[in-house]
Amino acid sequence: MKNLPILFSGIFFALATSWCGLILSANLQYGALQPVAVDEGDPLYPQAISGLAAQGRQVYLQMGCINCHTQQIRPDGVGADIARGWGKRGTVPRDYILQDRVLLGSLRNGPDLADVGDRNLNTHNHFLHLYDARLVTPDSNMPPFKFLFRTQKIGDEPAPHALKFPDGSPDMPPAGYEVVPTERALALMEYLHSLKIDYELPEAKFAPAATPAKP
Amino acid sequence: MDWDFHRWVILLPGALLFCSCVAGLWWAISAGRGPEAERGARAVFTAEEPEGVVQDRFPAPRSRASLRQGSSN
Amino acid sequence: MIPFASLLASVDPRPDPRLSERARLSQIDASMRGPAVLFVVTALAWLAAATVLGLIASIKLHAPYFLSGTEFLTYGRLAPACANLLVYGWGCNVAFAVGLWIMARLCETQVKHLGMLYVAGGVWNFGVFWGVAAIVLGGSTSVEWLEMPAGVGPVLGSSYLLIALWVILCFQYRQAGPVYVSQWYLLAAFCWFPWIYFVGEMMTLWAPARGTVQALADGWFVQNALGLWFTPVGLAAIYYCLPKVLGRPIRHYYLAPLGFLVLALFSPWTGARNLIYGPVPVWIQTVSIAASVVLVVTMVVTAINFHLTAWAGRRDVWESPTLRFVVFGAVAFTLSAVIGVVTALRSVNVVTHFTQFAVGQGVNGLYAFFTMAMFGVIYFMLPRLLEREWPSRLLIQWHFWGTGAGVVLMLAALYIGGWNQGMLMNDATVPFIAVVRQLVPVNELRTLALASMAVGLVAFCLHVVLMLVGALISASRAVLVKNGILREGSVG
Repeated sequence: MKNLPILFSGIFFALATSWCGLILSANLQYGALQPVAVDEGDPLYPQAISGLAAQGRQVYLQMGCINCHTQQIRPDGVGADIARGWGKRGTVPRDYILQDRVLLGSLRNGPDLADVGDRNLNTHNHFLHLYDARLVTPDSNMPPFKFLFRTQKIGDEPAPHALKFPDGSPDMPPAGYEVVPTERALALMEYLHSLKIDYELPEAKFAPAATPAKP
Repeated sequence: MDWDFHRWVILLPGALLFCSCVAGLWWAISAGRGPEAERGARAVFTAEEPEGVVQDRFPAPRSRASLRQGSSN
Repeated sequence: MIPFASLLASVDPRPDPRLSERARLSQIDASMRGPAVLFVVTALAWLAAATVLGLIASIKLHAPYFLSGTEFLTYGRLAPACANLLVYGWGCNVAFAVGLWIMARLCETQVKHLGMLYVAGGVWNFGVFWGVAAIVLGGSTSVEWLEMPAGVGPVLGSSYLLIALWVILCFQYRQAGPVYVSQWYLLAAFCWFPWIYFVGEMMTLWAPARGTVQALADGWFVQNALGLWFTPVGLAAIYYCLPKVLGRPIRHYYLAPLGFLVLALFSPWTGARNLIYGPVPVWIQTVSIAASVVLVVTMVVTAINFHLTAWAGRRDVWESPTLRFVVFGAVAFTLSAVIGVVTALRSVNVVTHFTQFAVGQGVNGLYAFFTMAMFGVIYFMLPRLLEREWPSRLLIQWHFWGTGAGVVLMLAALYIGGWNQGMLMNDATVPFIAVVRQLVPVNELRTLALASMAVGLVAFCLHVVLMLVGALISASRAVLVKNGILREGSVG
């Protein structure tokens, strides 16, 4: 093979066929999926997230959370995603159609988050975990996100999400001050609470003996 | 877009393409062997860097004598 | 007509046919000197930056309070910054240098209009700096290997085209004679990269596809960046340097085109290899798995070509700095190809997916294979471009053992530790925090390995600086002698 035009078209063709075969056909097959109801009269799923949660997604992007957390649950029987309580069913393409940046992730330094909003986590502990994960889980290697919080003077009454530290903790603010989440942390929490796979779809029903969501 | 219809549009030509690739590979292998290929293997060699001569070595350890004289490269 | 003809003549890369062959080859090397040195130096600078960031990120995995006061150094920003520095800063720059040089030599053409290449290189590096700075400052797109903001894409793309143009021109105007397999690999690689980059950027950032089609597009980009850009450039380099240095042709060379064809035809179909059991249609996963298995052909072909040739000349391999690195890369390629085939199988993928094992695969491909092979080519290339020998045995030894031992340690830690992590993660009775605890020694070993690789890199960078400084001194001395200011042979 010495002829440049023939080589060039062969090189192009080899790539173009795979793009058509994998990506174009995937787009044709399910690119037009819409939210759907399991039974008539049920609400349509998946549902769009609120504006504050969308801002929280921006924080998730900025902080690079995707580098340690995934947002995809493998089907029942594959691995232990469902057995660990990370979700009641495996995720399917329709779950992601309303997300403008799909954040599947590829590494699990931390647990999967696709269904984290459904795990009945205590909001205060969740903020504390974000502030410094080791205050909640001693051996965690999640980075501390103290810069997503600020120390402010206590007003007439403590702020709703002010952090309560264990006695003698070096992070305890001076008397009369409290540590509260900034707007970014509030938005991020709203986003995490919006991550739920708590609905069924015609093509994806809950796994038979799914364990109840645990923290 | 109707997947049930379009899968034939994509998968059938895809399968045909695959078979023709296999046929092409078969031809390439059988046509490739022989003196032409060996000439191809020798295309890396030049008059300046010919076959049979090793072209790269660790630099020689410098002796004290040559250091005193000062190297002229 | 006349201006057009002279424009054509000005880009015609064929050397003057009146010169002897010897003079032609050194003319070719001389034409590449400036751009190759520029690309190598910038590549090494980016690699050094990537090593620093990678080291900090690795320490954070087992010591999370390390440098934790600022949001700009969180793991979530350093990890993608390091990856992008490796891919676009080090990987692409060194691929430009090596690809252009090997193509020019094999085609016996020279690269002209160097100003164009310098501008392109400058714009490329500006783009990399802007993109990585944006990631550190919080502008990451969170799309794997495309974390740089969308605006950087056209900057990199346009400077790339100026560089790739020369690879194609060299091929078009090559000397008559058989085409060597490295020329195919390089031509193909330099054509594939802009297309996959364009598709990746388009479908994830500029006009994002709906739902997980984005993830498919990103996966397609990442697999092709590895399989259709870095792999062909690395293979081209090994196919060139191994026989050249040994003075023996590649054994069973007739198989090489087969390896190339299989790679070209099947590697792009492995796009969903990292989405097995993920939210994409099952048939796409199956196609990717099947295509991954077929790639065993390329693995076998390159293994026969490389390892039989190297084994026959093994003493010369050990005595040559170039070949120590190049053969290391060749062995790493075989390993990564085998592991790639095996981990595509569903039953294995269940364990390795999402673990440090997958990180190890990335290191295997991008560092143990590609980077080590590129180190080898630089050892071969710079003496010929600068017309001087490497000055220090010791620095070469430090480089080889530092990076070699380091990457072997890292692969062992990530593969074994990652497999263990996967087995534990798939056991629901093991609490997640226990899995995290299990990984602490793995992460510590990774940091140690990176430190060793850093030491090796420092030795190499020092050595390159010594080479360049020596070349500059010789060149200035030659100019002074020529102008009568210095007497020939005097100690300057």
